[in-house]
Amino acid sequence: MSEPPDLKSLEKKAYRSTFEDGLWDIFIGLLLMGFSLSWTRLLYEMLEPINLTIVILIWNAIVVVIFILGKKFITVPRMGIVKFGPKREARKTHLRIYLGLNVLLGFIVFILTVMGMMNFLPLFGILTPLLIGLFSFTIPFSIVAYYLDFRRLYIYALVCGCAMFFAELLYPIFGTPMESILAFGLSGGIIVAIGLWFLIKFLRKYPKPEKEGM
Amino acid sequence: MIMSILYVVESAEFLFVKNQTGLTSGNISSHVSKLEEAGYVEVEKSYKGKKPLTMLKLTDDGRAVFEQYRERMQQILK
Repeated sequence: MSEPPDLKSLEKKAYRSTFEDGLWDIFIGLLLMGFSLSWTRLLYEMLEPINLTIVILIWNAIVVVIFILGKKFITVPRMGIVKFGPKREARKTHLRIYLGLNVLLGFIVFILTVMGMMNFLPLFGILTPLLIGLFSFTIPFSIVAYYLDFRRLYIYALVCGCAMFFAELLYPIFGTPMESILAFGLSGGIIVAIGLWFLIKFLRKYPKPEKEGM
Repeated sequence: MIMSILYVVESAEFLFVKNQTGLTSGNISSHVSKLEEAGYVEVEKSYKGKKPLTMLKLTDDGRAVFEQYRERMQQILK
């Protein structure tokens, strides 16, 4: 006689299998690599802030498109469609609201910065990039990790938060743009590599079926 | 196993159930057909583009029966 299955862990296993494709890792890694553009002093000198923002927005849009196309053409045909229960759906809704508010807040901060109205903020020397990293990456990404129930994202949140701080530390040694390439590009690149490793494992585990159904 | 997977999700594609259970397509098909006949599973067949899409979902009866089964099993094991 078999024991009744532990439904909670079964649900978690089924849910977490949706992260086996590594696309979230690649998405976060590419976003971080893109951020190196904005922190590169060389680009600051070459481009007007508004043009630099456009470059970053285009990069981010490309990353979002890669993520959506990856889910549509790689994950779903191999893994199948699944709709989780009301608790997960509620968390997804909360995440969407949170992300919407985050985009709005980011836009307001950007406008205030362009208008020079953020100069009142106190500066704490070398700790400033760490604080910016904490509030721009670590906390928001950790909240996303909580809502998504995606554990690797907590580590990435920490890595992303520290990257800006490391860029500041590396600047006197390597100068620009190497400090950004090393801090953001390398940490983003490692996250992308982890994602690709998961993706290769996923493609081997779930080959594309010829025809599935009843 | 099929009932357990369908119990923890709202609905799932045939392929997802296959991946989660590790059963063969033929095996799942025959089980699901019997569950559908009993009125425990709802099978919705459609197309996504040109590809056939088979969605599986537990009916209210199916959920109730599965809960009863779990309760009984837990009592026996106690």
